[in-house]
Amino acid sequence: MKIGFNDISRRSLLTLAAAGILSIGVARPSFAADDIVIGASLPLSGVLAGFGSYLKWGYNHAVDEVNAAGGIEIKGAKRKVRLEIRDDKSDPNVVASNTDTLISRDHAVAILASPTPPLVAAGGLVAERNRIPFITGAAPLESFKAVRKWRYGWDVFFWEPDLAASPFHLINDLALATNKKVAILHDNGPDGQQVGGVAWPAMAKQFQFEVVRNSAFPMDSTQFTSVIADAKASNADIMLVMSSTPQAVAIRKQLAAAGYTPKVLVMERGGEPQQFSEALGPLANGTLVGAYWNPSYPYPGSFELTKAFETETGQTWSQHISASYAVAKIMLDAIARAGSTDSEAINDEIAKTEATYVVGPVKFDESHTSKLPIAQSQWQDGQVQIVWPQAQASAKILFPVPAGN
Amino acid sequence: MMQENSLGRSMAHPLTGSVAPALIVAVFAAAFMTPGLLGNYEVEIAYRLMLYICLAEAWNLLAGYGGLVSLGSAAFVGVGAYAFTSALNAFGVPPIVGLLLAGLAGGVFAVLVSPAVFRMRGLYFTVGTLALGEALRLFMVNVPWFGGSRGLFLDADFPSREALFWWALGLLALSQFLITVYTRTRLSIILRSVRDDEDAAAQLGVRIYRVKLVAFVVASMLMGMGGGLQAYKLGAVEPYGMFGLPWSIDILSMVVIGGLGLRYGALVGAFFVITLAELLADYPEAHIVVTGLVLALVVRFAPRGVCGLVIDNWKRRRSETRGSEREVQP
Repeated sequence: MKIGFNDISRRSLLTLAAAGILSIGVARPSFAADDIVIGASLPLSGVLAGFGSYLKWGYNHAVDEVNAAGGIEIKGAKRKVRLEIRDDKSDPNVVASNTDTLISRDHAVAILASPTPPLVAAGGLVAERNRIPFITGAAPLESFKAVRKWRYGWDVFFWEPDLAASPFHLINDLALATNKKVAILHDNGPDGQQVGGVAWPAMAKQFQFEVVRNSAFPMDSTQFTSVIADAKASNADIMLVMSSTPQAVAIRKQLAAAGYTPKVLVMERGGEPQQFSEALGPLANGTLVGAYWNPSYPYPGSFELTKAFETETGQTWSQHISASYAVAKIMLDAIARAGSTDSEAINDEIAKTEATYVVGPVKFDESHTSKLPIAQSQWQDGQVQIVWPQAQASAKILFPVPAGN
Repeated sequence: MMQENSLGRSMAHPLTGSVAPALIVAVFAAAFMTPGLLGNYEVEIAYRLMLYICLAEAWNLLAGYGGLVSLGSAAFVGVGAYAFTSALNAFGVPPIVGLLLAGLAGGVFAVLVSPAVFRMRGLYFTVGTLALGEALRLFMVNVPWFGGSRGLFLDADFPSREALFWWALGLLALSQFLITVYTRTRLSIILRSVRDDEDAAAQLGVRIYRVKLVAFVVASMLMGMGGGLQAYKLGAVEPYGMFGLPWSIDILSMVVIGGLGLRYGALVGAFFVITLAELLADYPEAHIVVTGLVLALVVRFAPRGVCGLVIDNWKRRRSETRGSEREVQP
């Protein structure tokens, strides 16, 4: 007898579904009881999913290397490290509950952070409350310091004033001929308001540039025709943009459609991922973006890290693999030096960190932060090239920005 | 044990009255106080469960009993969270006062927006409340008074996990008390008459606006207090998380899955959704797909929710038993 879909009772289907879920839940992979557990809540879905994938790779790569070497020696015995990752859907509330679960259920002895200031704060505060060491390589330092005086939280990243000053340093150092008129377009997110609303105008004044336009827009805006028309009317040679990647792509396309090409175009945050160049093709050429790392940097393992990433994923490298890999290594090194999984001992060892990692020299100050120097990179034919400072430059700057079609 | 929502049904079963809600609160308290029963993880899950039961009960009152299907829950959660944090930071009030102020802020906000949203009915009301949450989020991002997009950080000391449990238990008890009172008095019948036919209810002398407003304010106060408690837990509030759409969607999902308009729909739905989320959380690559699939199955094959499914099966079995008893009688 043939049984059709309608012959199956709803109770059977629901029972089957419940059994399936329960079996998934019960059938968690088994782990050795003496594994050293490190937790990470990451945005594997939601608006920051692209970002999260780089961090996931960086964290995993560091842990895999340690395990390939036999693990970490704790009280005379080598123990493997287990990285527990949970998806936070780019939501601070989920970051907080994930971090709580990683600590309370999985007994994580250390936490590797989710990216961007709101997610870092959400996870960091939970770790702080539980007295578990927590480290991030994806929160600008001022935003990290603004949360609280950290005891268990640590941050290795760039300092916002450095990022804000870098375009002006570049123009002056490379003697680029402009009319010194600046148009600023920024979203109203935490970084956007801090850099676009405060830091860039202050730096422009300090470097004796004139801000002729400063426009803020919502983080989900996609239509920029009017602000671009205003910037064009103000005849600014320099445009500084702080936005997400989709917005950066939209702005660049709408600039081209308006027939307006500033001589210097900086697109912070949104202009950084490979997707920006892929979406724009030749139109991406000449766009500048702040950078804290490049495979050409003379730090140990830069080339190998890039090669490993590109081989394993088939994608082009991102600077975020370096910071995520480095902070995971800092944490693993601290555990190894502590020779213990005691959170206080690990925390004390993180504080003593003074070494050069793949991302650069790391040494924490009293605010638990370690600053990465900022450079300016530029998209040139689908490749990111460092163009400032000149000592680290991997290519000559493309100036003025090509008009494109 | 479950209470039917149609007007003609009895509401006198003891377990649907005040005994079962008290029992729910007592079970949580007893589990917590039994030494060695709940570890840190279980306490964390219990906190989450109690918070969401409270929020889902509030939404069920609004949508299930009142027909006011709101997608603006996030607005009231966010208002409560900001009110709590601001009150503690600015005036140094104790957390209990902060929570009461968070509830008050939610209620006051409901009164303020009610003239606008009550002009709309059905889907228009739903879309209007959705816009309310989004508008408030953008407002909080753009005004500098509450920290803008960076938000506010709580100056008070971190509460312990145990303290958070007791706060959540208190909130659960309050929500059970309020919803029980609401669903066992005339208010419930009047509210459901408004839900079923607003014009007919008005013809019978029911003051529609007032009835809706009372339910809206009670639900919003509970949501505000829930937001305040979550702010206390997080130690930080910012507009994207506290006014985020996931609050509204999660609460709605819980009630729909548990049973819209059924007394224990919110409780069962919250338990179901949180358990599902926890079971699948270790599979980040698959959990969104599986969760969506499970929700679709439940909606397709249990349109009255899990509670409705249990009630229907129980009724069917009872009628079958009675039928067979009649057959054997001479």
